[in-house]
Amino acid sequence: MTSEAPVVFVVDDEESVRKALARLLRSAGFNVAVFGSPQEFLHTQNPDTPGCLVLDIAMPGLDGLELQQALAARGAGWPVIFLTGRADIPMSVQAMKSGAVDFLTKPVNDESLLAAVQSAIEKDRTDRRARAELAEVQRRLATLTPREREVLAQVVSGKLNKQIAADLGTVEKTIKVHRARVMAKMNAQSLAELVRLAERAGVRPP
Amino acid sequence: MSWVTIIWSMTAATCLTLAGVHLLVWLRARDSWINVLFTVCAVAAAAHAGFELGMMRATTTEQYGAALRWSHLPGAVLVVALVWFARLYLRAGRLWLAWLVCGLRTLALALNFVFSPNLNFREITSLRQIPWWGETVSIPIGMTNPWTLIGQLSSLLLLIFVVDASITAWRRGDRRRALAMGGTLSLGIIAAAGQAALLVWGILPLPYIVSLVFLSIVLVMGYELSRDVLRAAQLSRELRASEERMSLAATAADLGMWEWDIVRDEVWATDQSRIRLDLGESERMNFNRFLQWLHADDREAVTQALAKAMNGGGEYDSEYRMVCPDGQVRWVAAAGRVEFDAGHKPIRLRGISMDITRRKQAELQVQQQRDELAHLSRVALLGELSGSLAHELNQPLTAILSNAQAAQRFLAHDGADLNELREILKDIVADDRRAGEVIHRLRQLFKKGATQRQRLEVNELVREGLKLVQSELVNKNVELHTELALELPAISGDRVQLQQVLLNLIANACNAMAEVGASNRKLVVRTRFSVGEGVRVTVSDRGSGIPAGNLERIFEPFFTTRPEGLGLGLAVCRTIIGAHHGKLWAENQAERGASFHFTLPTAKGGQA
Repeated sequence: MTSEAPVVFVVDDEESVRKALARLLRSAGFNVAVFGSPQEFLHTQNPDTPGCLVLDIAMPGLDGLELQQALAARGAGWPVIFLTGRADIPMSVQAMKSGAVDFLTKPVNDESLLAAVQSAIEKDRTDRRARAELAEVQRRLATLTPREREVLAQVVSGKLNKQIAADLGTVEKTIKVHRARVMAKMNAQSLAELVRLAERAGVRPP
Repeated sequence: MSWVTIIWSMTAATCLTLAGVHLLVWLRARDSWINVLFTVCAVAAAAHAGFELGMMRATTTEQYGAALRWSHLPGAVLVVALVWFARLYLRAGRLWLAWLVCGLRTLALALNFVFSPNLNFREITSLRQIPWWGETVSIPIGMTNPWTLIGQLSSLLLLIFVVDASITAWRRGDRRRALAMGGTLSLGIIAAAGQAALLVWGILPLPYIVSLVFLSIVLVMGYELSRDVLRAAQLSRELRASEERMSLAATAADLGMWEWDIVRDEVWATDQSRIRLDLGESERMNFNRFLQWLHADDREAVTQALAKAMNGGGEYDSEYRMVCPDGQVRWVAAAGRVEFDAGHKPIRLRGISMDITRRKQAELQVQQQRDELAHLSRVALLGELSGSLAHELNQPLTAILSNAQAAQRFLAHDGADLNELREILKDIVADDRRAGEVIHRLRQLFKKGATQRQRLEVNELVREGLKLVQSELVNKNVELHTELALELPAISGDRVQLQQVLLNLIANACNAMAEVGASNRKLVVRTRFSVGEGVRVTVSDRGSGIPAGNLERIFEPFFTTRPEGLGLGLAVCRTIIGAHHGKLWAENQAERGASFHFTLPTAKGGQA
């Protein structure tokens, strides 16, 4: 996990607007990168850079909403703040439904924008941490043998060792050994934590 | 009273009467020489008749000789006058021959007075009395004078002269004159000279009756001349009738007729024109006065039109305003033709003028209404595009606000970068100006105004128009392609109205593609030039096209397929393009969709 400084990505097809927004964000201390079109952004950006997106919703070619969907499809993404010149209710509803952090109208008030960017960056940080944690859990899960996997599934469903041994056709002792190994590999300090981790990783009870 | 006296007296009297009449005619029209010559002929004939009577009444040879001698005087005068009369009347005859005849006859006359008793006889020995017409008359017996041949020669030459002149006249086409006058004169000369010769040479024992021949000649001459007078009277009547007809026609059509004598600078005009201009019957008008009545703005154009007519083709055509004395302004259309002299200098301009005030007012009204309609349609169109227009203003405003707020924040820090602030302010100013431009352009479009003609670049017009609607296109997910020809000649037109047409077509195209899937909305704007039609602008869409039967109907007023549409847009567009001397039409494309084309002639009249 990289700990770079977060970057605000501004995508707008109008140069003067891009420049102005960038200046405003910089004056508040953010790092900014500007792009003239969604395509330009998609081609050059590294998904690992933390930050958020400020998008004009109506641009020729790929528009803001479509970009958001494209990013979601990639599995990566940044929190999105939409800007629009036209305050259109259906459009704003659609934007919020598709998961935008905020939907602001132009000319945009500096405090509204900066507040939205701030919360977006924090959300991004939180999201990244969560993703990183999830990735870690899944990594750990991947180190389990298939047998250990089975045991994990049974353990987190609340079954006693005895029952698990009976279900899997081994002795309780073996189960205890597996359980200890699973706990170690998963780095869980308690059963409750293991359950939580398993749930996070999407392990289904049998 | 004897017949001879009566007849010869009447001959003389007739001749004198005719002479008197034609003398009067000549006194009235001094340049009518033919009448003078006739008078001279007639008087000479009368005198000759008198002398002939004297001869017939002579009792002694001396009396006869003297009478015959003096009769040569009127005879010669008659011959000379006849020569010139014939020449003038037939407008032909060799000049040298004429002079020869005159010269010979004069010589004969001179010799006549030299010889005694006279030219014809060396000596008259006696007089014979013969009965004739119930009377006894004297005829001479004596020796012929050989010099009489000169007199006879001159008569022969006169005959030749007359015949030659008649033939020339006949060949020229003046057949009637040639035959009548030429024939009569010839016969008369033959008869007179023949009879005289026969008498002189002693062949024919008859008295001189040459006067009767002379009388016939005089009568024929008189008749011919009076024919001319009668014809002149008839022509005069016909002319008057024709003038009255013209005058009636002109009055009925409210036409004024005028004539400008360029050389003397005098203008004649019919009552119509005079009444309108409050001119007195006898007041004279000249060119400058006419110019004064013209409206100041039209003077130049009229002067130019006149110059063109006088220097070149001779046809004059113009429309102008006249300011009447009572302050009223009237529109007049004038047409005329210039008459040139032999050296192609203009000497006269004749023409008519017609009051077209009512027509002009109607035309102006129509133009005004057209402009108003175009304006209304334009405002409606702009209403439809209002979202897009607001967006155009919004962009610069957004940039300005964010820039300004950024600047405020920079200043709040210590050690703000002044260069950065300068950049910010520069950008703010630029964006503000941009917004001002958009407002200015909008104001132009919203303005109601009379049509203005300017030189315009079509590509620039298209780009400006597209800028106004680009946000609309983005909003509706329409993909725009432009194919603008590199070199286009300029056109002459009203910027606002032509942009209205373009915007209307683009708005229609967007509406046509509303049902089409978002990824297939393609709009193409193309400009092209061809010599035949001028500049052509094409707007193509990918909608469902236009039903074949409606390709022309869509341009009808109030025809619309949209529930909220008024149906006037395309009708107004056609009117606008028509007023620019172009054409607007629609076609369906082969694959999908419709395309609208309009053509505009190039600025210097490049359309074929």
